[in-house]
Amino acid sequence: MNEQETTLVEMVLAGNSDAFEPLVRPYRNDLIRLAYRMTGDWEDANEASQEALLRAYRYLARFDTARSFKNWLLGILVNEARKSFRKKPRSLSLAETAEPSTPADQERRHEDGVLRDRLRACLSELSRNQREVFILRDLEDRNIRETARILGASEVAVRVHLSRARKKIKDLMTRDAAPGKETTS
Amino acid sequence: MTCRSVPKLLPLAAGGDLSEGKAGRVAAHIKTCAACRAELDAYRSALDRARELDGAAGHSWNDAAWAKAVRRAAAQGGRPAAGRPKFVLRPAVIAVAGAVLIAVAALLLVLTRNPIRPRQVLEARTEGVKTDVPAAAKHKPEPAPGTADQKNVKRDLKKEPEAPLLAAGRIKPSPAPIDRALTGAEAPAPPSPAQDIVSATFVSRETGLQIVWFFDRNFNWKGEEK
Repeated sequence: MNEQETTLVEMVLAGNSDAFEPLVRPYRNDLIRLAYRMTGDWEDANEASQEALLRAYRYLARFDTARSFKNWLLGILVNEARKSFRKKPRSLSLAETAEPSTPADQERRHEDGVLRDRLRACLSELSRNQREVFILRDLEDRNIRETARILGASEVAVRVHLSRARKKIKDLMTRDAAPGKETTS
Repeated sequence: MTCRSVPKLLPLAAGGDLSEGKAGRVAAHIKTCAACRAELDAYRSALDRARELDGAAGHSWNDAAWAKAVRRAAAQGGRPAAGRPKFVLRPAVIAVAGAVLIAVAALLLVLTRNPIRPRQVLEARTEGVKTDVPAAAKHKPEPAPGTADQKNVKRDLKKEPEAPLLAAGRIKPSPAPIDRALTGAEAPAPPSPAQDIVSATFVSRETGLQIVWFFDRNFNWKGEEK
């Protein structure tokens, strides 16, 4: 955690709520993207991110300033995304509250939706642990240690889940690409 | 490394997540093994494809939604400093936890050791008497050596672990209530409802003579049989 973040945390804890926005702003896109990858739906992602921000503000006093604020914040988000994932059955809604809704984007959005569904179908074949590790390590490009910190797991467990997840993804991708099999794209 | 051990490492090797030593050994094997190299390429292609399909990369949180979310957090989040205090292991907490642990351990020890053993011994002691002597006043004559009854008596003695010692006079039967009062000996376990007669058998090793003493439930001597 850098000095600026430490100062901002102290300011928020002292009662200056305006200091909260600059504290979390650097992770704005990280939050919404990770939430989307975990929930598979922009509405759920938006909701989970808002809830994560609210909890981060409420429980900021519990944060250990010796650790990474980003990992702490993303850890809260992961918990919220899990709740959202449990609450709702997965839908294939293309509603994207986080993106400006302009007509020019319609075509691109449709293509994105199809591709997204293919990846989501692959991810849904993984266990929860495998999916979370795969998202953080391979889609978010975080290293093993960071992934372990965010998930509150050991690095060994992360490696085990990652290895199994990659094998499953490889098998699914190979199956999809095999001739004679219908693909969703 | 061989083609048996390398495939397990390929998923992590594809993403560069192996330690330097393992990564070097896998790389050395890949150079000489076309099958493992093809497998590694398949893993890398699958990862690349997954990243391509990831629809979240190009998206961001728009300013209005972001500002709204932060305002909501600050408004509804309450005062952040009012969080739960950190748990501290104080000596009093440790002492109470230790006392509770000891109490639970003692309770478990008592519960696991007491309930079964005395009852089993008691039943074994009275089993032969109940079958051979139906009432205190009525005594069966001693069975002739070699008869079925004689064998039953011997079998009963085998069931009773203390019987041979008792018969040989090496241990004494439980003292009578008066003796217990005088000596301060510990009272025996309460008899089961079915136990009316208690017997003690003495067997002579030289002559084979058996003497059986009978006692009532209060351990009052009722008679003997040779």
